[in-house]
Amino acid sequence: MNGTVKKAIDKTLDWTLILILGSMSLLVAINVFFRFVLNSSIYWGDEVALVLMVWLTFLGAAVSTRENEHYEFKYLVHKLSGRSLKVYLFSRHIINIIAILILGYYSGLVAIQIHSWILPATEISRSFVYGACPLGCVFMLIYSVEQFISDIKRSR
Amino acid sequence: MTIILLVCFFILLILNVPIAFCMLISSLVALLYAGVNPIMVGLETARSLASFYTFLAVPFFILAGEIMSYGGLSKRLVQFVKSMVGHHKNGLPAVTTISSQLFGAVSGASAATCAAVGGVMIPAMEKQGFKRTFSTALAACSGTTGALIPPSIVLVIYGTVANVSIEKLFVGGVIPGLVVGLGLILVSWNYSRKREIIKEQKSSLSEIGKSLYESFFTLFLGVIIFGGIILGIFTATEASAVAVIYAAFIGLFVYKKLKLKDLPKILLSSAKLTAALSFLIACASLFAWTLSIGNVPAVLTSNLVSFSESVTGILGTSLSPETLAILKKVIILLVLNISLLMVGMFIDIAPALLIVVPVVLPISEAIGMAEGLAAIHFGVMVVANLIIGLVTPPVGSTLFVASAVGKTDILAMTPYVLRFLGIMLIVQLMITFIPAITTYLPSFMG
Repeated sequence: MNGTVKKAIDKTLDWTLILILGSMSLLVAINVFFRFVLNSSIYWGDEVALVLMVWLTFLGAAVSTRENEHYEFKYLVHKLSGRSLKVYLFSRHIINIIAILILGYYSGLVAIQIHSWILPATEISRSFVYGACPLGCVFMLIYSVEQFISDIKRSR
Repeated sequence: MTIILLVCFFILLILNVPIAFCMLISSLVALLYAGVNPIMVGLETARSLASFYTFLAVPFFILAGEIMSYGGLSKRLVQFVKSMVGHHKNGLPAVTTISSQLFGAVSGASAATCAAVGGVMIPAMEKQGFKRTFSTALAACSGTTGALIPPSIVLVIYGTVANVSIEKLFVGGVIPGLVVGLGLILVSWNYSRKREIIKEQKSSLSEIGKSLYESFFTLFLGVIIFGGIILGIFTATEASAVAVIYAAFIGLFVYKKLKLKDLPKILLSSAKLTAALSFLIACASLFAWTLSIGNVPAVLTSNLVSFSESVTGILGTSLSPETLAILKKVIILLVLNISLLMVGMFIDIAPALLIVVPVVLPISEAIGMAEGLAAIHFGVMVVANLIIGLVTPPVGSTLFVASAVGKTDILAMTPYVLRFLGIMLIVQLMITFIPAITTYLPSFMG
């Protein structure tokens, strides 16, 4: 993938995560302040925090894919070398890509079908909440394919 | 269907596919085999998101922990503990244990705790004459026990998945956590008794006062969080958000160690840690649902119950029905303890919890531990049990981290690890069979 494009995606995702977590913490803390000091709470506070958490999950999962930070069971890999390592790495990439495609496709379907349902407090469509999953999958796919290609290049 | 699900899952797991993806693919394959509409893959992952409000405490506590490290709050805490007990012959092991518990509670990841505290304390202990292998073993074991001390991220995950009060789990984990910590200190005391140890100079009263003054704001954070939760002022999520703002304020304006330009870096690393966890939760919810479609938890529970009945049957019918019922419960709990230990040996605690909890919850129902304080007891027991697996040689995942941090061989650490494991197992049995250890404190809550 073009280096500049990749950097732009990396930066955008990183800053989105920073903003999401930052505003989430502020929102919940301010809501606590409202409840205890001013005796009234922001009625949409909890709902927006929840939506932000969902977005954090799936965009963050894309970043975890980029940095190989998903939870894994890491015992077998250290014992492989040479050809077997290569075969193993390729099959692992392909399995990952299949998983991302499956999740992206079905969560996308759900996000589309659910569009007429709205959230109670903010009255936005639930598609906006569940849309985080397919979008996160798009980024996960980009990173997985990119890693796959760079592994192929390296092995030559 | 169940066999397909599990075989598929374990093959992918061994292939080092991310655990979240293992759950996704194996669930899809099993659902397709059973003729269930695969759109459930999307629906079930989406449904899990509704439970994310309680989970919000996780990113906030991670964030608060990171801010505390950056802002110099954690270091002052270690310094304070050191000034209090560092001059005793067994001082530094005690400092290691207590600091690990405090740090592990906020960071929630035993590997990170082991690296953070071990990195400082292993060299310090070696200088005093402790064997490096011993210190590394202690850092590994104490690093894992923080998961019982509030605000523990692991307990939040358990509460989210099992739908149990996180506030009560927090309060319930306190005494078990302290007992394990005390056990570790006792074992290391027994070790240092027989060795030549160079003692640290005793801190003068003014020095203790100074370190208390310097760590006051950090200690006060503990009071806010714990006091707020136990008095029912805050929920765990609210307490965690307050902790973030408090830690940032103290770090920025009081200790002035934290710079505004550090914040994006801290936020990003906390966001990444959180997402790896919450993404796993989303996929685990699908996996748990597929397991229940395959009737796995129910079948497992009924098998376990009939196993306990056949064992008590051999023991004879001369016992009273009450004793028989207790005996059955004891057998089920023992089998559960051993199985959880084995799961914990191979899989890190968060994914292990997500896989195990949906399966063991029906068991808790069968032995009458699904409601009220008994449910809290059950949760703390499961978490404490999985922790032990993290440091069980030769595969416990925290051992690998510890051996890298302490630059020693796992094999060389093993004799010491086994001593600590011994005490951890004893405490585990106490937690399992003496409910009051866990339920005494939460019984005061409304």
